[in-house]
Amino acid sequence: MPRFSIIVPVFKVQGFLAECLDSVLEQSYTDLELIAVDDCSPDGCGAILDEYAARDPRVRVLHLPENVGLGRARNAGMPYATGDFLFFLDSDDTLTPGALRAIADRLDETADPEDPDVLVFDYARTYWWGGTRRNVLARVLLEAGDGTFRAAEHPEILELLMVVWNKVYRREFVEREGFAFPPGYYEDTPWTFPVMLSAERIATLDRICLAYRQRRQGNILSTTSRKHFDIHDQYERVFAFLDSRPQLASWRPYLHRKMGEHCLDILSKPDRLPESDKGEFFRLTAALFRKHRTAEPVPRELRVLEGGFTRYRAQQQADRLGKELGRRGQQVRKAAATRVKRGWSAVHEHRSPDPNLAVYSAFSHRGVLGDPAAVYHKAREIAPHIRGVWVVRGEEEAALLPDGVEHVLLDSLRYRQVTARATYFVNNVNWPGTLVKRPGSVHVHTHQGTPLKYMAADLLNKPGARHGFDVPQMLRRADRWDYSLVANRHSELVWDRAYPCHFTSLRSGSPRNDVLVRARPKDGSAVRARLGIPADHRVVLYAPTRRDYARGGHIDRIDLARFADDLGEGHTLVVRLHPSLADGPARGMGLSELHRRKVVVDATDEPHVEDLMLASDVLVTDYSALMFDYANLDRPIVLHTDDWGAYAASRGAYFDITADAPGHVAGSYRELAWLFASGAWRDEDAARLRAGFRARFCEFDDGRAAERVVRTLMLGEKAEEPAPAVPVPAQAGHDVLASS
Amino acid sequence: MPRFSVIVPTHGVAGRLAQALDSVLTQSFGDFELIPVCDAPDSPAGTVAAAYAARDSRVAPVHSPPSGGLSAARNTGMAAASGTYLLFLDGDDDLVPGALGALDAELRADTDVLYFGHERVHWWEGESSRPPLDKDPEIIGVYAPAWSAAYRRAFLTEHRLTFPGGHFTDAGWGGLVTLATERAAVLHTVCVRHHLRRQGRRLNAPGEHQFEVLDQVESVLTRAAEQTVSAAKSHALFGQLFALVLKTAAHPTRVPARRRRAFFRRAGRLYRRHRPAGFRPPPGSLGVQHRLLAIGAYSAFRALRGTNQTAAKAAQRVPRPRMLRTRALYATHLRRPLDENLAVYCAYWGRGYACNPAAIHAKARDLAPHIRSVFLVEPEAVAALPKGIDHAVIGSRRSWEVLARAKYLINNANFADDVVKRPGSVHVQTQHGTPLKKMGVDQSTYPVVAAATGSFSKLLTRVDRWDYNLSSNRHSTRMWERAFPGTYEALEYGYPRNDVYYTATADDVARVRARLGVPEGRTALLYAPTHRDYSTGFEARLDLEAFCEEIGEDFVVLLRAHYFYDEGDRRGSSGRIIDVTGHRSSEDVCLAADALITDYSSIMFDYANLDRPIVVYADDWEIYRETRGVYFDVMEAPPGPVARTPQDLARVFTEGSYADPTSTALRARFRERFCQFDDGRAAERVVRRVLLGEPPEAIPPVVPLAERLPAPAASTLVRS
Repeated sequence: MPRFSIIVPVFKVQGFLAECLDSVLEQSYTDLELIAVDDCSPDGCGAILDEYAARDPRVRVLHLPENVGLGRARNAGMPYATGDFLFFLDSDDTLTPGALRAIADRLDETADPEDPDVLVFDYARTYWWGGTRRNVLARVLLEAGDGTFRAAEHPEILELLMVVWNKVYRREFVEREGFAFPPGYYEDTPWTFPVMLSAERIATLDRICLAYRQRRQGNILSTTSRKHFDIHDQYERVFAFLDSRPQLASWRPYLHRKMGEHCLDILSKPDRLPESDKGEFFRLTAALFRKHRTAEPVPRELRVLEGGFTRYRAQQQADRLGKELGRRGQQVRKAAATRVKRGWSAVHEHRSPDPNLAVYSAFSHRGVLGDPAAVYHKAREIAPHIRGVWVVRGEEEAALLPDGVEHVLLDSLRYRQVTARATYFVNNVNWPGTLVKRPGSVHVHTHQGTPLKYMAADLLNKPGARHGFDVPQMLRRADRWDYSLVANRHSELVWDRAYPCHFTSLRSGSPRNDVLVRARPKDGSAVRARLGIPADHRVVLYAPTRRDYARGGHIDRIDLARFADDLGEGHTLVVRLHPSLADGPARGMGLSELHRRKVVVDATDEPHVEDLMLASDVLVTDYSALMFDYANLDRPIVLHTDDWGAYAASRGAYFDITADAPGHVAGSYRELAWLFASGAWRDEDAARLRAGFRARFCEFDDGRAAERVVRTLMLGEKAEEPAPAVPVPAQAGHDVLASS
Repeated sequence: MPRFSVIVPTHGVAGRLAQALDSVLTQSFGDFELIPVCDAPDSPAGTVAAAYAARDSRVAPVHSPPSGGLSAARNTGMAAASGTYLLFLDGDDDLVPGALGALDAELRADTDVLYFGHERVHWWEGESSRPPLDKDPEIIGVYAPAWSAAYRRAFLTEHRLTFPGGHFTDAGWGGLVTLATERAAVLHTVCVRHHLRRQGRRLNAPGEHQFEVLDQVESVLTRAAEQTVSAAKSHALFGQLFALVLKTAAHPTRVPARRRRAFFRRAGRLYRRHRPAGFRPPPGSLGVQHRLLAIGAYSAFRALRGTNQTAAKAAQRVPRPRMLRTRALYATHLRRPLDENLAVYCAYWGRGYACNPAAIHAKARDLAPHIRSVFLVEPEAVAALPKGIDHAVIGSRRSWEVLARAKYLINNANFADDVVKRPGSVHVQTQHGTPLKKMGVDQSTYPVVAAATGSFSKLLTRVDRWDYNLSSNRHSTRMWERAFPGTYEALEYGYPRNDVYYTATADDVARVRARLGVPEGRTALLYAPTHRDYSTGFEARLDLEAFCEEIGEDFVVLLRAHYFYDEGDRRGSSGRIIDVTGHRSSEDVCLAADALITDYSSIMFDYANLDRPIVVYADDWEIYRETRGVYFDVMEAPPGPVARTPQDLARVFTEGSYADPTSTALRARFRERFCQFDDGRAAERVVRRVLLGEPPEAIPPVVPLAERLPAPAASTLVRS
């Protein structure tokens, strides 16, 4: 008896079907059966299904003699199911890699005393235009907690999209209750509500297990038809179910409201109902609404259902007008504010620049971070007469600033005033285009790391990497730089080539790395404690970078659960995704769930990456510039470069990192696992490779970078020759670490 | 003594120097020395050059302090050079691959100077351009930058030619060289890619240094006065030098305002002192400027300059009316009724009479002669059209008229976005290949190609115009449904362009081979690589010369690059490579070839119809798959043997496995899957169904694969 019976109704999806079936059959979790129901599809679907059935014994195909529609096709498959759990997958959707393993693990976790009746998991919408968006209510799944519950305990669970495919159902539960799909559109509604309300034990899984394909809507493909009238029957079925279960009577007001909202939503969408039928739809909805009315007061937004269609129309128009007026008003206010700010800038630009004022910003105004932070702290120490002001994006970021840091909000009047008068501008990304450089001001660009991948002007021949990225604008902004800080001669040459602008390279080293060069062995212990990592564990920091050849930039190149498992006892795998992926769907594809289960530590949200580096014993990365900083710690680095060809071809690289690596290079996951299993990750070869890498890239990082920047640029020491003599490569760093 | 000395000044371009040096060191012609001229051994460029010198003995850096400027740097390099010919390459420019070979082939023993073509590349904004080399080689002179010519070293030494100091050294140098040259020649091939400075050349910046252009002109004119120069040369040179001077004088910013009069005065003195006897000023505004300079009339010159600038500005503001007129015209014609007997065809955005539309067009003339057909083409393609094809140039009034009125619109790509679908009109999308790589909206998750696709919403509005979409196998039908979601009807009729593979005779094959120049008795291999979206520009993935060498005399290679690259000649010197990229018809080329080598080009699906050997050369399959996206794994179900390296590929031919039973078996499976509907009657089916309106059941069914008889290959004829 398999764990999962996956029932796939199939109708006119010949372009998508193979992808759907493959996503199931290629799952790492294999204990499943796939019951495909060919709903008399007129295209090639039947043949595709037969082909799969011939290849894989887990596939069973039912060819229905006539087309019965989605719901009844699912019903037709159900009697053949033998698995513990039913999974209704639509034939143009796909399972995400590892989904069934995650579901199975979560089911096991909640199987005490017996399997849950329903498990709700997360999904992402994939749009025809390429976008992927996570379910906006995903937090509900997390907030529902670790255990199981009834719908009454967490009614928010019903706010999730009421669809059949974001859940698995215990087969015995479904059979016992006799649930089945009704005919018609919106068949999900009279299935989901009864199921969710009757389930004694609901569990949740905050992981994206399914990609829900949003096929093209609107235009001539629009589904405008009277079929949407089916919604009323479907709700009648829900209410009939309530009638048959007196113990669920308390849900009636809730469902009454839900029904009203759902129908009004359908009515307001432009592409659902033919214009001529809207009145009739409204009247039927209102009748249904009256019929099932309860003693509860009617919510304000549904009161329109108590009036006539004309009043509904009028209110719709009024709402639309209100919105439009609001939008216009906002535009006017915004334009006025811009003019005021511009004037304010102009006023301050008439005053002479303040020689003792420095403005700082890092990572698009996210806080006191990176190189600018290191320069700022050093300036406060050795050039206290210079007032440093930070630019931050919003109140949220401002609240997180350390005590005693003076700041202005981006685009505020004070921002205008400060940027109009400051002499020093320190940033690791470009200042906004609205910031006009005054003669006499000094712009210091610190960069974010040593470049391996192509940057700026070198992207000219890399269409993928420069897609949606305004390089000319970037170059124009870089025209404002006076000094570019470099940590090694490689960077100096690259910035020269990538930014054909007029700036002077300052061989200062990277201020942010001072802390790494001067690191002491105990420095990471506080961070370890905060992240809940046992003191005696070996910490493997895994920090993959973005991919320019994939939309969204994220591809899971490593099965993290397996990696953590292969590392074994006494190890903690700390994962840090590229910060730009923090808010997208990337973490939902398994990372957050593994973090919750304490299989790995997800440190993507840690603001200071230096802390993570200090807390770790070894770095595993692919092509992240983090490796250049990490090399200052002189701790082992292992590269996992299984897609170097694609990466280099799509993004471009200044040198072949697999040939000049900071440590061992794994071309596949197997090699990576072997490097750790055998202990080779820290053998003599690794040390030799690292030494060569350090000599080349830690060249100017001697722990005094910030001081050098402040002394040279702000205090005017050695003013006549801005480039300091080439420092000895990281000698101090060697000593400190050697003594540890 | 090496053939070439390449002298590379490096001041201020350390970041790009590695690329410049690589472009020289990777030349296939290897007999040269490379002399980077660096500020000092420990300067940024000095370190780069030293690293190269350690690796390659042909690199010999020299040093020249930055205070001497560009001229001193070049002179230092020249003093160190020992090559027969000197080339000056700026440290941020590149030699084009094959440039030295091309120069070597063109140079005669007595050529003093060989001027060559170059490409001006903008950093980011703007298009590249190739200045024409249309002047008499003897007097290209001051127009040619020093890096755009090869100079015979003995000639330079004999005339003691060095770069004059100061700014604008190229102008002085060019003038002096022109005076000394007796035998100059021109090579039109592009040899150097010159990267324009993003913020403009420093020479063009306003400032006092602009006066130095007069110093350069003066030194050239003085030298000219010391020697006897033919009248033609001295007139041309004088004209060129003063065109340069007047450009500076007339420029709104270069010379500081308070110094303009002084500049003009000094230029006038030079002009009067050195004007050759019988010199006639050029016609037009420049001639007027010459005359004003000759009489020293600065106020008049200033007035003229002001007028010219105002006029230029005004001219820019005048709207270009042509677009508006055609739009209005189109709108007018849209109001007239549809012409039931008019069909408009277009293939590959107007590249000519080709592909499925051409095949349908030809069949329609037989079966539906009452329908008038107009083929839309780009202006460049008109000349190559076969005789008797009624055509209209895209964008012309006639093209908009027929687009507005035709009932049938047949294309293998898409008509312009402005074309509307009229009720009653019939749009046929014929496609132009079986999809292996991702197409349409399926490209949206692959930024590498999505970048080139543009708006996907616009793509779908174009798809919404389609009534019929042609397919040559079930796989295509399924994938088009994903890639181009729409409400069209899929016509599983096969590709009309492939009909010829079943109708061509042995004579036809022989004729095509003769026309393409395939030598009698040789096996012709068609090499047709596809385009790589992950980088722009053509990258040779296979050294064809070496490949030919390896596989022996029995073979010749027909090279057909992707249609994005049908310019230039890549014929090579051995005569065993025949470049057929520019040939109008892919089908002809396929008929002529005895076997096909391709990577992932969809030509493999068409060629499979001929049932001749196919070899897949997949040196970057993983990269292609990940960055471009594919619909199936061609490595798992290839049409023939797969080679992953050039050595593998050569072995497939030397050992004969390209045509062994394994190869045949792979091909048979491939044909079953992808030659499904291509049976030689596709065009007929399309014409009868679409143009003649016959019902689907009346259309002839597809002939089973086993019963089809492909056109015979030439090599089988040779053997029989």
